[in-house]
Amino acid sequence: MSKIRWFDSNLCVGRPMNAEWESPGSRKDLLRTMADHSVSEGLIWHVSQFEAEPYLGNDMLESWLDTKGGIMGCMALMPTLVDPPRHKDIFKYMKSCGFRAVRIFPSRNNYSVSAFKADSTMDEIVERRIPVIISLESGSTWDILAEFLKTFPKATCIASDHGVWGQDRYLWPLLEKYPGLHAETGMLSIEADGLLSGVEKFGASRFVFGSGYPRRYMGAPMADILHSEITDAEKAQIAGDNMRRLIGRIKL
Amino acid sequence: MKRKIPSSVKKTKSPASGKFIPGYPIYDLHGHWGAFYGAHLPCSDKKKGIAHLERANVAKLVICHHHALHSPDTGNSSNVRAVRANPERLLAYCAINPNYPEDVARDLESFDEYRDIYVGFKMLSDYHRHPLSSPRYRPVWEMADSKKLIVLAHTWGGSQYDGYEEICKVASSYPNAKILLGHSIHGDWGNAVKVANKFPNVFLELTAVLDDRGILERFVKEAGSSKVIFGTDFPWFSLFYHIGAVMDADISDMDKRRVLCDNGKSLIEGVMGRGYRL
Repeated sequence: MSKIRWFDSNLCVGRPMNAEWESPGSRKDLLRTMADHSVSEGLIWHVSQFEAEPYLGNDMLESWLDTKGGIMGCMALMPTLVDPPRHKDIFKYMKSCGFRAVRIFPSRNNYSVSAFKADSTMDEIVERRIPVIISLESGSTWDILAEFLKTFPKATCIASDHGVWGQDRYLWPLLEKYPGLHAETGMLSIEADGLLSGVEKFGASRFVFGSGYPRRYMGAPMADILHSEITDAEKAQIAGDNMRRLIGRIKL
Repeated sequence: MKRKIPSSVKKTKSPASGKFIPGYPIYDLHGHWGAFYGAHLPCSDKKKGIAHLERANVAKLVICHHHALHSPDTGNSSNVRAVRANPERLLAYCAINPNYPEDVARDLESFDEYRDIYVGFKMLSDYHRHPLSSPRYRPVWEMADSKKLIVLAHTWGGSQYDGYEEICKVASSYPNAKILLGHSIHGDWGNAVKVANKFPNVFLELTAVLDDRGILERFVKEAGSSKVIFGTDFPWFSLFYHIGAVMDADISDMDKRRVLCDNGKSLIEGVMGRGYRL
């Protein structure tokens, strides 16, 4: 049996404006919850990256990160022509702080993804194979995701937080067209046999586990993965091996 | 793609260390059947649907067929066919569309012919655009009250059709009907708890509640686990995701069992009789 080593690609820290859910109060709290669920690695973002200001959120996330790889971070980014990041060399910054992915929130931050073509930053992110995470719940839509992939067809991209209604009619055509697109399972797993259908169609390598904790139960999508009618090897891939592979090939 | 299927999923270890998908049967009182316009639902395929329910150890799923709710010309025949094809696993709610009183009258008149099928009625007021207290629903409520049936009402926070005020009206008028608040007045959690505490015949149902962490804990703490009923909108939502959410919630093992099993079983037995094979 393949050993399952969980890597949660969608963990959020920081207190939301409206206190809609209880957030981990500290790095120690988060690690304890991860350990309770046998999750050894996590990719986190800060709610202030979305709710307040992307670059403020980056600053706030730094203290949560671990350059040894247990807790990795998502660096929030906007098109750099208008809103240059605080750090001149963002790749050096990412490497030194423990950021291993980029999150963008186009509709929240009011820009078109084509604005990333005004300079070479996003092209370099794509070239360095840094995963770009686009949440369909926080700051984006399926049309925006499609536009991003059309603009950057070689991007390593993760579509997360798909929404509670089954979204296969949006997701599958994009998975078919763009080999670099991956789907995070947090809300895909809400759909009955949604993960199984996706794996049958596209193979397990295109899916990565994420929970959406603390807004959502970490254990819920884990239960769906464990009980889906897929092989143990496929479960191991989705639970963590795929995300480890994506992170491992980043050039920083 | 050829893939090897695990031989026993029930023995698979569950998310949090030391916890397992429960060994007891699951009772899901908010289900549907068939395809639906708004989403690709893999389990709307009958074989896949039944297989998913079997793997999740669901003893009974109480459905209301999508076609019965959304296609008046189909009527409740789709419900009858679905249950007759899967009597071990399914029961149904008779769909009520108040826009067609003659259809409602016909369904009420023939209701007793289908007592092996129906545990009560399903009302979808937000979609059919009549408030729960509308005179159009009155004969349905009267039958539910007199026969002590279950009424699964779609409820949503702020709705003029099935929000808090409308629920209070029918809960007080029909105290013998067992009213399941489908989606627990989604988003209006405080009033959901309030109405569950005020009326013994009102229950909180979990469909579309469990994708937000913490609401179940609040329901159990403020209304008590005996007032919380498990539901998933299957074939929309995964049984495993929802069972996993309940098992991961910060409530006692006894509360989890009540929610996933005992409460639903008790409500079904209340309608079908204690001798009914569950």
